[in-house]
Amino acid sequence: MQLARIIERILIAIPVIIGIGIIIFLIMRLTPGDPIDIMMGQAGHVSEREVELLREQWHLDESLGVQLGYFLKDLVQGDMGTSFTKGRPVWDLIKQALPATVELAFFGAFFALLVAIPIGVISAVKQNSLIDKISMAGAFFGICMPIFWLGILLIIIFSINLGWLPTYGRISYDVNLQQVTGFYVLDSIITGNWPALVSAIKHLIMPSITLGFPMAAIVARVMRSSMLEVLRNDYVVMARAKGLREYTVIVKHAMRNAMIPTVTVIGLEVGMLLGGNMIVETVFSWPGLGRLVVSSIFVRDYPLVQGVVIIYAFTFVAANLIVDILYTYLNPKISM
Amino acid sequence: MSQIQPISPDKMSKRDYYLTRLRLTGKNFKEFMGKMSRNPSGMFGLIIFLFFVFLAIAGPYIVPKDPMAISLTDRLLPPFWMEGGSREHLLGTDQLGMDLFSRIIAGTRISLLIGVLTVSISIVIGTVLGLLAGYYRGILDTVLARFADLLLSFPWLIFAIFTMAVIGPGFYNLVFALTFKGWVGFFRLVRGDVMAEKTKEYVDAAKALGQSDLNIMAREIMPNILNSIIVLGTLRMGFMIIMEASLSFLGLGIQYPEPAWGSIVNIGRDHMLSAWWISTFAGVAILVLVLAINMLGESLRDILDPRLRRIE
Amino acid sequence: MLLEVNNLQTYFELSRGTVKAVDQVSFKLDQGEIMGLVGESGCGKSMTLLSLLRLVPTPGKIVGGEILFEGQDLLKKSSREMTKMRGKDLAMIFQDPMTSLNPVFKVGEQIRESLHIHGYFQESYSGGSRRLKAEKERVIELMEEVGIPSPMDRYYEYPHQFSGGMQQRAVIAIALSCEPKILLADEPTTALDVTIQAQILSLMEKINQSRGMAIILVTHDLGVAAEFCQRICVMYAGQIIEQGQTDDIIEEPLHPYTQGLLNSIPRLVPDKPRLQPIRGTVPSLLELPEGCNFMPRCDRAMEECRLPQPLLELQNGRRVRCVLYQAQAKGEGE
Repeated sequence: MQLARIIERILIAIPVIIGIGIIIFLIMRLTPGDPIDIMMGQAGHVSEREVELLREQWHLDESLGVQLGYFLKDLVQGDMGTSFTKGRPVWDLIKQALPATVELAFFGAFFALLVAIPIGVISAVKQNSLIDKISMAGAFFGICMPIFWLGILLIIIFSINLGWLPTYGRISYDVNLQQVTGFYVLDSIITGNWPALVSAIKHLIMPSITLGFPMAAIVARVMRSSMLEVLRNDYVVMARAKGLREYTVIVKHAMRNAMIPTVTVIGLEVGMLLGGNMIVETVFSWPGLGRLVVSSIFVRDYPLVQGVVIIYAFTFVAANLIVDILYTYLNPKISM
Repeated sequence: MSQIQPISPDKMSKRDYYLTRLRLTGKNFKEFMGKMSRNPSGMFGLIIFLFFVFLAIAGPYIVPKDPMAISLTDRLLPPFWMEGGSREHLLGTDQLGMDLFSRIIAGTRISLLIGVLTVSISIVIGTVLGLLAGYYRGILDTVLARFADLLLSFPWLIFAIFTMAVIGPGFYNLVFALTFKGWVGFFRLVRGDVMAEKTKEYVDAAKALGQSDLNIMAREIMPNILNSIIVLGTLRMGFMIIMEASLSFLGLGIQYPEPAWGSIVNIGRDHMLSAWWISTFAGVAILVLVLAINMLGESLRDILDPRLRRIE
Repeated sequence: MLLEVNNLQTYFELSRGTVKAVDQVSFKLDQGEIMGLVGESGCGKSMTLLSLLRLVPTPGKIVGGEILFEGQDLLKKSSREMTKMRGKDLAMIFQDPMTSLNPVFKVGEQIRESLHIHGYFQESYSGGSRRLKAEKERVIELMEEVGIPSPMDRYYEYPHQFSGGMQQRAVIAIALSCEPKILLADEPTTALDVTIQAQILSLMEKINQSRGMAIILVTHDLGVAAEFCQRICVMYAGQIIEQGQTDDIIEEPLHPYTQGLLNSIPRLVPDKPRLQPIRGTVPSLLELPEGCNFMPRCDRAMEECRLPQPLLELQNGRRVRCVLYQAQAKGEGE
């Protein structure tokens, strides 16, 4: 039964992915004026060869419908075209930058959930206490905080003034790390390279906190309010009346239920995480997809921009698919 | 368990519910102001927000310096309380010697204007389409709802960055990029509310009296969903201001030397080592404005929209 | 005496004032006895039960009195000892079975949890899997006992797959699992259909007889209480206003409120031509009158009712909180 629902969700995701592809395509092509003229005008130094390359790549001589057909066909085949500026297939460049981004996103989300869920639970259990008020004030700040500024502030405080943490990159130059998976933390553990591990983690701390902060803020608030809702239920009183310790009541009986709405929100927050990723990578010069796309915008490397945006959008769809499946697992009312 | 609980809307009769909502909509402005004045964080937010509105309007007349005047002899001066600073430049200067204090005041106008414009346009588009889709349903509704879902499956910032990358930087392009996805939230809110309101008795009553669809939408349904729109609009404005600042920070929104807060932070990033104040103060301005707007928005939500109220 | 409650007071400190949800409540419960706690909603009967378990929700607090369970005051126990007693010595079932089972856990597991935490089969089977097996077998027996059909399958189902009646049976199974001495039943049938109500009540009666388990039944339905309980306490606005053997109370209700309650029950017998409802509504616990709480609604109110009324002790173990019976009183109840 669960499997059927998972397959159903995957099937629903397919038209969404196609739709996203079409929207990206339309925005790229329907911008007033010939895309090539715009590129020439804005970049100023696009060579004849690049123009030809683009004209061929995008089938600009055909009608819009045919162009869309080619676009989708290429996409299905994993062909995202060739970067103007780097002269390499877009997919290769993405593959190269992907591990850095995934590693950062993982630690960002990890930090966010690690902090937010306990805070949400404690705030709900100790509602209106000092700890609740402080945490919720912090969460409110987290929602209002522009993360690019948070990142810079952290650099000014912890790198420039205190000198504790490095300001940019994934690892120090003086550390040699043999690459296996491209995830530096994992690679350094696999190869037993402890100096590299320390360096990689040091480099991860500030970007992860910056990236995870808004997500942590929202998840803490949602966790708190859904815990409050759950704690009013009879089954919580019932669990206490059975003779369960308060810890078990909260962690096993209440939290399991409160996680259900929270998981949905976490799925939506992955979007924030992906968007924030571009900013954080720019602030901390993190060599991932975000920095790749931001830097390629300024040199008008459209195939690269398009490719990375597609990857981001697909990641978001995939993340929500996973959340959906997790939701099915958490909520027995749905799985049957 | 017989606990004292607040009356939730679904427990009220339809008529009572309708009456409460109608009353809160504006017939009893005094009551609203009474509730607002008893809400310290809401009042605080409102006052700060109004202060920023004042700065946005009066900015050009009260700035001590021309926010775009370059003075290469005064480059990277610190704020006045630090060594080397002067009262000439209260918060110091940037790398072209432009007065930071004046630039931050001038930046208020850009941030607020973007916030107000994008939210207003989003409200108009979202409400009109939401009313039509929710009221008439049918093919229009299906198409719009699908399109809205598609836009929702794009992360906000990525969509905005992508759009700005294609259409290029600038004020109006920014407004366009942000409203392109901004209307969806209002569309879904209004559409859902209209579909719910449409089943209520007063709509049937109005129909029986021979009122036109337009009349029913504008006079009967709209007053009942206005509160939700105001609440969402306020909260969304804070978000839009952060989006604008983020895009300007990346160099895709308002560009240097225009005094947008995001781009000031970006410039400051290049001089973090020597001139921490540039990024710091511009960021404080963003944070304070967004805090104020969100405090106001959350208080409005508590007062105006009982459905969204959290159990406290 | 199994349970003796003396002058129990549970107050809620709200910003608008103090709510005396349980006010000077005293009663006794014998081994194997079924006692009814009757009153309108909001009169404090549920809070009385929760107070017995020391599970009063915030901002409520037990501010006075004693709860003697087998001679030991529960209010003096540490919270650790109290936790161990809940479910094992005193078990509780709730009004709405739909919300008293945790929706995300399998029904059988929820019953088993009770056995597990109170250490059943702990010594006999030290090995984890054998203990689990013994526990599961016991759960299935329990499910059979409370009348859940095909318990082997239903063990693995979730609460939402159960009907209301079946859910309540599962809740009862949880309550029975550790063979408590007292079962606290908070309106166990209110949320159920009439036919199911009768089934659940007869199940509880069966348990009472076969296990000698004492039951405190909280209900707003004097009819149910009359049929089911040996003794009845009538509560009004946080206080017990009348107490006695069921037959005495039904045949000759003393307190005007009890009389009113009896007159409000629709009957199929012809001697009562029409219902006589009590006038007015249940007062807010924040705005109680000075003297007798029932005075504003009472047809026989007089000047003396403005004074606080003690619970008068009459013959035959009857007690009543009404000035009308001052002459017959043997003395004041505690």
